[in-house]
Amino acid sequence: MTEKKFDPVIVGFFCNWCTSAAADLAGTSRLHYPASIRPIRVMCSSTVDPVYLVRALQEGADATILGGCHPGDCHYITGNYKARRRVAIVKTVLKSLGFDDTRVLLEWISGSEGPKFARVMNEYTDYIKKRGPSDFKYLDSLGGEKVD
Amino acid sequence: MGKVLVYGTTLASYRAAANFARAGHKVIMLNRGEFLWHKMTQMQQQQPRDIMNGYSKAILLQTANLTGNIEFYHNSELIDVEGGPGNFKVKFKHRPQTVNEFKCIGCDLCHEKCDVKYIPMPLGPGMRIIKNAEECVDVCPAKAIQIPQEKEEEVKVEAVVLSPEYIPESIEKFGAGLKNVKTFHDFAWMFRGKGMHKEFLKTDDGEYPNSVGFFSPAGFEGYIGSYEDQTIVFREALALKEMDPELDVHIFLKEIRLYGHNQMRLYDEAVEKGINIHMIDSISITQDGKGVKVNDVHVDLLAIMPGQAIPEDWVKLAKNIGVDLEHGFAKTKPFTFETNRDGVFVIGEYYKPTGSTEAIYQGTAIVPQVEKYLGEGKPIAMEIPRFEQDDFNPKVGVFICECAAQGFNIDVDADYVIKKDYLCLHPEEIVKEIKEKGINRVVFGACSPALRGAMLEMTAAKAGIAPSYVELVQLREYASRVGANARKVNAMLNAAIAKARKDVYVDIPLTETVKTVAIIGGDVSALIAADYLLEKVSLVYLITPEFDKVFDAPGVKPEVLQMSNDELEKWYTSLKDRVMKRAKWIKEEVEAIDGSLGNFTIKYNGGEINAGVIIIATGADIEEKGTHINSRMDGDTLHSSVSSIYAKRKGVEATYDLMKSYSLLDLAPPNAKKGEGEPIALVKPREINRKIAEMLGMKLDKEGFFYFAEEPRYGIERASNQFMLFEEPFGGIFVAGLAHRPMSIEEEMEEAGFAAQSSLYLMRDIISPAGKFISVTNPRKCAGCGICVDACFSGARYIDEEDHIAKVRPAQCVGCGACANVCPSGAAIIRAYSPTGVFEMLKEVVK
Repeated sequence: MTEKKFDPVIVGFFCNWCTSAAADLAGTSRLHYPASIRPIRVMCSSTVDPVYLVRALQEGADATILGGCHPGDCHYITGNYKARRRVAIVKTVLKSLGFDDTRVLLEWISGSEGPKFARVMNEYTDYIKKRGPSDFKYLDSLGGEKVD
Repeated sequence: MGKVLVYGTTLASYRAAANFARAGHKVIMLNRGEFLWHKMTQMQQQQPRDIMNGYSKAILLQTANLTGNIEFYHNSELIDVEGGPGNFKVKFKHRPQTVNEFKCIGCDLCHEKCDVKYIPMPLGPGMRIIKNAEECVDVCPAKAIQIPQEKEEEVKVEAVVLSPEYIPESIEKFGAGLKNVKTFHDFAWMFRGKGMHKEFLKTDDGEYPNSVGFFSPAGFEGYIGSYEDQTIVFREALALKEMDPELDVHIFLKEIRLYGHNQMRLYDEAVEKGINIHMIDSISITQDGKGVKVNDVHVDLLAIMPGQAIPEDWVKLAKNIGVDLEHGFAKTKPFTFETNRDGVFVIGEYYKPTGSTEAIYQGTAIVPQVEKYLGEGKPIAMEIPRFEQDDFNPKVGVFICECAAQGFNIDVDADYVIKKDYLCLHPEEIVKEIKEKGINRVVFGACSPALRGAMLEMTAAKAGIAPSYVELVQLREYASRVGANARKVNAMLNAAIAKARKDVYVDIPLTETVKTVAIIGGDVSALIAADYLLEKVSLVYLITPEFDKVFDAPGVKPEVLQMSNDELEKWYTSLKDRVMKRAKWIKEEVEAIDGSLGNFTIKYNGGEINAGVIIIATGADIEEKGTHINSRMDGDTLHSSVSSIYAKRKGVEATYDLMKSYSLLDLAPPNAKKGEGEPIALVKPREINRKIAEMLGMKLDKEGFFYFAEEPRYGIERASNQFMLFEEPFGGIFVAGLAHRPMSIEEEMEEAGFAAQSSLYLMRDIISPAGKFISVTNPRKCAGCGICVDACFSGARYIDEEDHIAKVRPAQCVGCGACANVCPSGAAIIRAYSPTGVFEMLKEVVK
């Protein structure tokens, strides 16, 4: 069997005030990053239910990124701390169930950090490329039933 | 409707212009640079990476768009101001921007075809100047390119507000021509846009330093500057240490000047994290190998935080307008921003050395002072358009902006796909298409919502589509400009279409407010706030058994610092008389407070009143004991602001521990020596604070001062951050004066003005700041557990005592979605962002 080139899909939930603004800045500055990133704008990183992250993986994403404001800079004061706790839990749960917990990434990227945004997206995509397709997909290929 | 001229664009004047416009006055804003934030301000010098840079500009532009009350002139210069208050004739010259920043749609065509100079900005993408604008006018599809021809204008205004930008003092005298000595700005700029990361920290030789030093010359001869200089030095040092705990970080200081709540914790934290703080009396900086030697400590890289210099154009400006200066700063009438020339006001760096929190206070507090010269303001009417709702028969129309899609092959599953060259330039065509085709869900594939989002939503609204039925996809910044492929573009569009099909109608609620203000306490700030409020509000309650006496810390500006006790007393008496004539004094202590923003019920012995907004100004007791300038008591709150003024006014031989002077005071420092002793002025917050805090669910610091607009939990004060939003997040409760922290009467005036002006905005019915992202409770699912109440930072959720379920106060909801996330039973939801919609979206986005 010849190896097909692996083109991952990474779903990014980016908060409206910081990381989305950084993505805007990366865009206006024309900093290229892989097309595998699928950005979704949310109001705050705390809007993102842990279920959304798992759901994205379940639907076939190879990884997810949650982007928020730096600690202390949250537009909603404490939203990013909540997100941080949640991501820690999601990672623990994934790990204890035998899944790869590095497929959920939490990053603080402020509105002025366009270059940082592009760098993180590049590095994470490279990492996931090396890591290969998500285990969730492997489960699918076994013909397991999808849980709703 | 009044008309005000605002000269200069500092943090304070940005906020002032926005506030005047919101209060319904016309503002003529003279910007001295080619575009907003072109000229360096204190904010940019000190914190080039801070998010405030972007937000202050965003707030101004947003207000300008929303109210249509602000006219901008760029590259402008004041020539002459004639006349008096209510009738000024102002002559100025200006040169239009080569790229009109309000019209520019960011299509970048000019980059390809014209000679463009690109100027990086502290935050955001940077601005451009077109050198050959004359030949380039036709290139721009949005007609944003203008010919920069100098013009002279004359306008009639009723008041003038001056806020020219400062320049930093030269660091030459400390380290002339030395290698690896930088200004703080240049140091901070290294990380601009990239984040604090090891690879960006470099010495002049391009190596990673082993040790970094910071030096702030506060307390040295000739230094003028705001307390913020040192706050930022501490913050940056802590951030460096967090980035690399191995890095050797030094701070060199003569005095430690910090400000307000929690800031002493910066110092404690720095000590804890192993940052070397050197308290020095003199400084010598010499080259030492590749690095420098500061006194006898070697550092590889030294960043100097410069104080403030008095620019020549300040002097010229003062002469031109007829404003008196003192130490280079504009002289004002006691406890106002008004200069010796009636109707001419100053705020920001021209008023006194001002930190960013204070600048925002000033930018708001100036409004009631200027308003006495202005006609009646006409704030824009609060109207919520209503739409026909149809949640069940979606007919999705996708509008693709070719400027954003840039030739990608769009293949999506929508009812209609409509492509246009520039969507934002042809709103009428969008309306026509929507109506003709009977579209009821709209997906825009265009550029960033920050640029054109509001405009596109409004266009859809004109065609009868509610905002909750509109989805925006950022094709330009998120896809076509960052190297996307057709697969990504179509996945993003399909995701939005899938969500649009599930979108439901969201009604944006309006909260009616009680049009009265209750001021609790008898502090000086209570009277100042009441004085301002009584001009506009018919009923102001003062709830206090007695009023405090005026205290002996009037302020740091020479004109108030030198006031005699008699003058101070006289000022206070006339203020009190004025207020007492019109306000309603309830001579009781508060016993219970119920309700929320818009409708509070305050009970006291013998009755109860209703008020829309509460201002807490309980004041404090000031004990005079010894002769020591005390910096901190048991907590983390700074006391030197009051005690240094006491020492100066009393002229005693004082001792000090960390800080002997405050802001401008050091132009003539009190004859103080290092030492210990009984505090000269001990500010003790009142016992009643605990009761009030409990009733309102607020927090007090260790000593018993109220936290207001600052975050108590995370050590580093980020008060300025909270001000990015306007009033609603404060939940209709403001704190002013000594109840907040030890401060001079001058600062009380700023805080009281902020509280008064902000209350006025809340004195009309309030549209939920969350807009379509308003949170709601599904009563059938809610178990009344109250988890969402704890999750809500703005106090918008509460448990209804009758129904035992969680309810939402729309006036306070900001739409962050924290409640929806924590709710275990799925009862708390953001309807515009429901799980159903998100799940549909996720199915498509991964394809």
